[in-house]
Amino acid sequence: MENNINTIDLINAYIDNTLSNEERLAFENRLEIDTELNTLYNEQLAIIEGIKRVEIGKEIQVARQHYVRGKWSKYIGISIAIILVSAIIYNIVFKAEEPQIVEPVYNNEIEVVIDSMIVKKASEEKIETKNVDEQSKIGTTLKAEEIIKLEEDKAEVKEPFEEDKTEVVEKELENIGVIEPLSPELNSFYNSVKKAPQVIEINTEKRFTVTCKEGTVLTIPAKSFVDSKTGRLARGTINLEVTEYYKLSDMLLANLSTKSDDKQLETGGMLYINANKKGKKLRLKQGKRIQVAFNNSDKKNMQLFSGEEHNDSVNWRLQDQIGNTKEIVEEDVEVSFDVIQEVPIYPGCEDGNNDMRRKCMSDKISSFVSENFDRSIAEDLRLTGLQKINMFFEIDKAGDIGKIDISASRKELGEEAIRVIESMPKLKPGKQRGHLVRTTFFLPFSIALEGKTINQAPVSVRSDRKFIKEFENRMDSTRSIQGTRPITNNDIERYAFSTSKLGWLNCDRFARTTSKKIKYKFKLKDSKGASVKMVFKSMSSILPSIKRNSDYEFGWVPKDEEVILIAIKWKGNKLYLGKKTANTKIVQDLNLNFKEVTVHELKKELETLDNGFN
Amino acid sequence: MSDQKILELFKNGKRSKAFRELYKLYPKIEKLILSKGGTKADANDVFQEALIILNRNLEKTDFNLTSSFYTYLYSVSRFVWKDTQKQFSKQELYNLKPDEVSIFHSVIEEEKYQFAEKAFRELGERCQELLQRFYLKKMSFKDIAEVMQFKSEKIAKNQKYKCLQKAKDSFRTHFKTVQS
Repeated sequence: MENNINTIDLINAYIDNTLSNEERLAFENRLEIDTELNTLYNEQLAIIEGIKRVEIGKEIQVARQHYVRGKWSKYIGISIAIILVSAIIYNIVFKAEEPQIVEPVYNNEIEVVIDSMIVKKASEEKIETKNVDEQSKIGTTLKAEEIIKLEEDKAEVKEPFEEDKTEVVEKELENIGVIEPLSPELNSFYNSVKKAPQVIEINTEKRFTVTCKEGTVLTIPAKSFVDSKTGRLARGTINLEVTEYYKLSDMLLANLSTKSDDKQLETGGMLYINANKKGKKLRLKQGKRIQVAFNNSDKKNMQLFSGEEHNDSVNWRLQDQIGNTKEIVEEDVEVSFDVIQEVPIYPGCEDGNNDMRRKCMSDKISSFVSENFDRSIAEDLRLTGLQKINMFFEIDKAGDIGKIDISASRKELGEEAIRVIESMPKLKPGKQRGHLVRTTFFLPFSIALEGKTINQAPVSVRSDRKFIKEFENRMDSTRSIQGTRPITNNDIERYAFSTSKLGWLNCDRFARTTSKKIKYKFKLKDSKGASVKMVFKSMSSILPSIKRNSDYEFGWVPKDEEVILIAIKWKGNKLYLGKKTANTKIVQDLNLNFKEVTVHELKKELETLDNGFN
Repeated sequence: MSDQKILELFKNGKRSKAFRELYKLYPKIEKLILSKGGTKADANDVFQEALIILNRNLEKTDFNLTSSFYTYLYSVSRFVWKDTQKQFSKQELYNLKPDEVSIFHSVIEEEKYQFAEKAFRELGERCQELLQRFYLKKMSFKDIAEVMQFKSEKIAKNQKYKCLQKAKDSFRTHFKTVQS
């Protein structure tokens, strides 16, 4: 060995070129005659090259990663550019749309008068000192109004030009003056009376359905939540916080209103949903949707809106408008058994109301499955302890069993479950809004065997009978679904929506009033620190106001509507409520007769209004 | 970056930077391999091999890059891919042009080093570290003994000998089975 090491040393020295001239020549001579040394030398060279390859390979991999990263950042850059461009285009289109909505109303003569009058009023106010008494101000404004009316008459001949002018004036006016934000005291008051959310603990590993305190039914698919920061899937138990706003008093105390940009909405209830795990905020995983059934049975044509908080209040936007498109028109609609309006009927469950039928069907199916499930299969598999078998299946529009999806500890158990479910008697299909729909049903089932329970990862077993059936249906085109027109998810979702967003949700429709609209605003006596809202008597709609230049502005509202104006004021550490029934027509000043109230009294007062609001 | 500048990077020992520049040629090579029925992973391997061969040849004093990097890497990649697929026919080999012959030799030579790399990777982690420190970082046995906590310089030296011997044995068996 000593000898060999010396040889290697020699080779190393030769390779490193540390030999003297004489030694080098001697070595090269030996290489030519001594084949053994030659082989050793070549092998050593090869090994060294091999070691070098490892090093170079690493360097190349680094270069590669650099290249891949560069490629991706290019993609990301391009996508950001696309998003920016589309945002700009959206903005342009949106801005272009705005005047179109407003324009027809400009033709209303009253409008022009009012607006021009305000030109005077605003300028007067700037000049006049605050000591000028109210009376004389009204006097001058009234005079001004007359003058303008006269001018208006004269101008009628060359109407188009004049109108254009006033429009411009009005536009400019809009931008004059600062919007007075909600006073911090009032803001903290709203925070203090904030409705406490209902906290629901849910296990994200499973599908979950819950009926909240005021009747909202939420159906949450398994594994729907991810951490809002890291995007990682949330496992195990999480907290779902739900706040329901069905009552007018709740909405008013939460400073909520029903407006989508400048369009008035009529509400069928609002929700605030939030999810967290150990305090860490969660969001819905992409592609996952929560089914939300609002507790409102008699409202038609509702749509789902999402809320964005800004300027102390919540603005609502149609969910499909903010990029979260609902699944686009699908012929088949599927509604969860837990929320469906008319449950499918199991033979023998015809009696009673919907809830009784629902329970009857659940019970019957459970007992059917437990009676018919062949337990010996589990015994033959030598399984021990508790065996959980979760069964999801559909009841199709004909009342037959459709797609089946089983998760069980063993494939054999899943197959047995499918056999049992498929042998179930024919049901009467479920209906939603009078249309036949597919109903999804979930049945957790378990069998207890002797011995210890061993937790195993479940296997999933599916039945494709449905696919075969559908195929046959297509072949046999004469068979059609009886008496129903094809319906879309949109039809159904008006009651049972599915949302891809948490946060503020509102089940609304755009208010459809045929009456003329006016720009409603007034000055309010003792208005410091007050926030004013308008509640409609004819529909469940709340409009907010903004305070600008001591005017409370409501924007365009339908004319001659009976409304209740509600002002909540916080001044000098005291709480005041002002309430007045009014008709929406042009007014200048308003006195709401503020009276001092305690928080409790305020709540009571507002609750008296709840009944008229539904 | 021009070929001249990349060549300078290699000469000035800025190999990593040179590789980064050359990687910009990767999409074209990937296209080539995909068109020949390979996968993206294959393309990745082939390109790495081509870069190693290029680097090795640049280190040789008698090597002159007669074409652009792109042309060179493209030809090498083509040969590497053909070699891995064992697609060379005798006729093809007879008809090779002189510059192709040298590339072909490089590819065949590289195969030998691939086996050496494989043999080296089969060693234990400590052996690998030891050989790398000695042959790549040119550390003395004294320093190696200190860093790798051998009791003495001599033990480090003996250990290195054993590791090298192991690598050689494994290399010999791999290489012979292929050659025979």
